[in-house]
Amino acid sequence: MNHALLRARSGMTAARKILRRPLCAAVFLLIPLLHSEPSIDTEQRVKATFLFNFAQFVDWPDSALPARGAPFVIGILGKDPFNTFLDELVRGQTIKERKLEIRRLKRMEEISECQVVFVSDSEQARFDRVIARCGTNSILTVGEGDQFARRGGMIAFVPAGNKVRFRINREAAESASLSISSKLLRLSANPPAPSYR
Amino acid sequence: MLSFRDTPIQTKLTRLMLLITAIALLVTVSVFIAYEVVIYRQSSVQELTTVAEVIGRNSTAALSFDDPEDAIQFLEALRATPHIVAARIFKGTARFAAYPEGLPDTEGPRQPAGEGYRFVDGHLELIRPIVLDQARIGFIYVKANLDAMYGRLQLYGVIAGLMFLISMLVAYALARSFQSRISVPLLELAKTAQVITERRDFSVRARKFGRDEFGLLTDAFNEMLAEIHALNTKLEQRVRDRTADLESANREMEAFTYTVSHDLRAPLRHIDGYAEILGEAMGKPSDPEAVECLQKIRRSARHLGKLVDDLLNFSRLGRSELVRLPVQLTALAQEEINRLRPETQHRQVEWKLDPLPEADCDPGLMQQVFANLLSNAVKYTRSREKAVIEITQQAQNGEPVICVRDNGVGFNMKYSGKLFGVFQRLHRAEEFEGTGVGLASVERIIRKHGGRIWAEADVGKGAAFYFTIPGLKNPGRE
Repeated sequence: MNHALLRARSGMTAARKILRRPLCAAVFLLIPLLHSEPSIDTEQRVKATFLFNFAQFVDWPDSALPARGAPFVIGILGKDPFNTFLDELVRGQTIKERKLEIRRLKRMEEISECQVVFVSDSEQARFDRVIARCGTNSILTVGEGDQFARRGGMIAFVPAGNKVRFRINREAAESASLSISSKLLRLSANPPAPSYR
Repeated sequence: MLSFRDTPIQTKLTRLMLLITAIALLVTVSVFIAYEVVIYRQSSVQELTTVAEVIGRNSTAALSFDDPEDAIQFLEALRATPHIVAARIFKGTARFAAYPEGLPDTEGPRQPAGEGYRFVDGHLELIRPIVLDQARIGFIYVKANLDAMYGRLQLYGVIAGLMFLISMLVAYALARSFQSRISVPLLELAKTAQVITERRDFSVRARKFGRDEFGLLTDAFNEMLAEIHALNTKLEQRVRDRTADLESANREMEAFTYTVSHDLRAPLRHIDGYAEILGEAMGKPSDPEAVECLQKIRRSARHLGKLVDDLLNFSRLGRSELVRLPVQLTALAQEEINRLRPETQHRQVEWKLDPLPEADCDPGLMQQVFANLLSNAVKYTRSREKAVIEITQQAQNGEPVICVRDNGVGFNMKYSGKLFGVFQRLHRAEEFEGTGVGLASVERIIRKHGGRIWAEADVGKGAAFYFTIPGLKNPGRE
């Protein structure tokens, strides 16, 4: 625990250091920008990229993957913060040898057709149901804020200074038979201090 | 310094063996070191590739989620391998993370383009792409110094040097002991040849050491020696036989000549004696013609007697042993001049006698030389109103020469070849009396002393006789 704390702190100071250098910051932040519309928030663009990248570091049980030829679906439940950026980002990309598809979910039932579901903050009321459904179907859930992780969401974006970080709820993922790469786990922000709980 | 061609065969063989050893060693060591370098480079590339691959794969999440700190943590693991001095991770083609902290901007490529490696400045640089799910998301650059390799090569160099030194010493010792097997028979042959050259002893034989080519050579050499020895012995025997034959023939000849000459004199004395008695018995000469006839008989008899005397003398010259004594030639010449005084008292003769050197010669024979040459000079200047006879010493081509010169009638150089032959006369007997034995005797005496005699003359302008003998001092040396 202490180690994770130390690492996170040093990571944060380094991040600040990097962001203080205008050139470095520009390089890091502009890479996703190259394919984006200027109207979208930088933070949302980073999150969109991460959302796509998570899939590469998570292993689904074979039964949970779509059949060959069927697309790998990332669903967005609730208000879509990414606009068309996410669609452009995944255009032509594949994951697990399958074409990527972004789907805006209208109904809860559609969740089961996805492999990854981004649960927008607008759906807070339905969190528990969504999470329960995803857990039984081996669907990776991604949401916003500590709150999401604490309520059983698997990956939650958390702000860390000027950077976007994320926290992984490992138990939730494991209970859904998803195995998250240790590489990804390393990057998980430290869980909140006990006083927050 | 001797050229290789002139160095002794022992040195040649030793050098040859050392050279071959050195070349073999150098080739071996070079191949070995070259092999080591190649292998080491290959393994270095392999090792660095593995390291780059491991770090690259571990950094995929850091790249994907834009977390350079995480990448740096993987890079920091390189501290365990001190020979990897620098590393960089690129996100796309942009610099993302570096090792060690504060790595100068000059290290690593600006924009990596593909994978590859290169050896530069004692370092190995390697670039590999970082691939995630078949997509190239970045690059990793790793740089290792090859000090370990150079250290090892240095060690190899030292070991090779020592090995070379020891091998050369061993090779030298072996070469020294082995070369003798080849060189000793040859040296033995050379020594034998030298002994034969120095002592002319054809009875010695070269020692044989084995049945190789040198053995064959030794056999052939010894056979040749035997043949030469046999031939030589035969030749010497033949020479001895011939010499003995010649000596006996010579002795017989001399004895014959002496006997003939001696037996010839007796009747001549009788002819002279009885002609004289006849003249006295006739008393007053009534018939001048008869007196004239008697005188001619007596003159002829005396001439013949002189001839016989000269011949006897000449043949004695051949037999007699040479006595060598230091002789004052000036005194000898002066004595001869004095002896000729009665003959020249009614003539005008100018004698010029230079101081002559001392010579090691037979005094009696040398006396005859001067007697003949001087009396000839007096005889052939008879027609001159004033005769000039010079006896001088000169140096011709650095050789001391004694010269007897007159201003007499001389002779034609065309006949100079006949000058020293027995009974050879260049003038008519009516003009100048003589037997034709004198100059032949002179020549024989000079030759017996090991010297030479020659003449220069011109008709009507006089003649000059030169002679030289060994042991004659150079003028002006005393």
